Amino acid sequence: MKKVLVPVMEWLPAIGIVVTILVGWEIFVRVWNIADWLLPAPSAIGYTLYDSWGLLAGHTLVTLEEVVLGFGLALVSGMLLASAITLSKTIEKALYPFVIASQTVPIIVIAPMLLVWIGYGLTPKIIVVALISFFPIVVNTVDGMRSVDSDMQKMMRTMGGNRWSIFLKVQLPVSMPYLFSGLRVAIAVSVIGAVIGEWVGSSEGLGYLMIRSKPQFQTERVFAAIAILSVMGIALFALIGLLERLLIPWWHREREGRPRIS
Amino acid sequence: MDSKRESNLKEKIIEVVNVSRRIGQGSGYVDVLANVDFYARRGEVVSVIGPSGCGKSTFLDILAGLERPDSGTVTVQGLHTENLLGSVGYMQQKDLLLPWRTVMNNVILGLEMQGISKKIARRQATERMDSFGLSGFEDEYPYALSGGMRQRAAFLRTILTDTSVLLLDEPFSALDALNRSHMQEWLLNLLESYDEKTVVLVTHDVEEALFLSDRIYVMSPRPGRIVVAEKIVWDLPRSRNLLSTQQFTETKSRILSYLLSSETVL
Repeated sequence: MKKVLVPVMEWLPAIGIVVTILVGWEIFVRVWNIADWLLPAPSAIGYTLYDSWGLLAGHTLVTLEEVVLGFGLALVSGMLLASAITLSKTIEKALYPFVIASQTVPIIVIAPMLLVWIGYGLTPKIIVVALISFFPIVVNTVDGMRSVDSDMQKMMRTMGGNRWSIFLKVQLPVSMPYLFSGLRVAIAVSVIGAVIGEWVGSSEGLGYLMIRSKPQFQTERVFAAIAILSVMGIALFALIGLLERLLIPWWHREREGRPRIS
Repeated sequence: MDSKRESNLKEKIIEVVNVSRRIGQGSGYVDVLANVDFYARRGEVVSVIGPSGCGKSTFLDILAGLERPDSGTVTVQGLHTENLLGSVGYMQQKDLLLPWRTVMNNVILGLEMQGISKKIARRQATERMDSFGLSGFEDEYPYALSGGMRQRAAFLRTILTDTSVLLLDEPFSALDALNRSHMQEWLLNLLESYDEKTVVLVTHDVEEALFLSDRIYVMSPRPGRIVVAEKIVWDLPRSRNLLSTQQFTETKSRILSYLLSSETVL
């Protein structure tokens, strides 16, 4: 019983806020008699979620696929790039400015160009997601790899370690908590990236559904899509947290500092 | 009684001649070491004591091959500065255990780097866990260990690499007084069982140096110079009792006076 109660208690404040906002919203819409196409009541959005579930689910899967694939691409390329930047001063000098510059180019400008260059399908969306999410991954991982203290490097060198073994045995594991911080930011922006990619040009996905529903004054469907996107974002974020606990358990124990054996 | 300590005739494993080291360039440099002469014979425990910031750690870095002297020569087991890395055991002040590795996987790190298979490395480590007070904790992670245990694990990691020279940089400075004296006694016993190992111990604790070593070098504040080198021979076997003898307190105050007089030079 306790085991179930604890997480519920932890989430209680957040749930409280959500419920308060929804109730206030519902009352506002009903009392002022606001048109559905202008601002649908939560109950209407809920009904849409239920009523058009088949349609929404199909588009949700498309968006989820774009997010997961784009994020995966960002993860792999981001870690490779971070490793290269850490291992080679030349690569760092050559590429790091571009990594930063890439974030100053608005994704909303790049997305239509990708459409022109690559076409209409899944690929340009994956690239948009990867472009928007690889930055926090690279920057955090590089910071993590550099955070190895110099005494640690000394120790490895006196044991006969070279650049590569220090990287594999120390820098890479040390960077893991940093990587996960980056992944949390990255997964949140990934969802935004997928929606932008779909807005610019697509025939499926929640972003596409929003774009198509708005001019038809199906505002409750736009909101239903937003609700699904939020839930998707939160779920993926939680999944990253879970993976972090599974993959680097030492990090949490180290931070929480269980009582020491003496 | 102190048979291994009658080692005058043994070869010099470490020989440092006229070594100087300057850090930084142009007008912003600092002379860290100036004309240091030093040696240690096989099986000797030699302490270097000096005030903080006198270049003791730089001196060990040079012996380990991590840093090169600007002038002078360093010879350790016939090897010179450029070939020393990987052949000298070096234990630093911090335990530097890797938090994602268990105690077992931490202590075999050096063996792993030498390319020894994990299975053989684990067997070698298991044999020694007991004398390092770590048996039963092989699968624990470092965060769960006390300061003394962490230090012993770090020491085991260094010992397992099986180098005949060990450099210890203030190994117990992070421990409280009680733990420190336990660890000193433990180290003393341990070193007697590894009597072929040559140990250089850097410390600023005169008592620790006297208790553990065969010879003591006293260093001046920066730039570090050797002020005096003294051979330590006790009439009694080394134990806690030794610390309260007149001979010990006299020697201690003599060494302290060297330290203090070198301090006033600044």
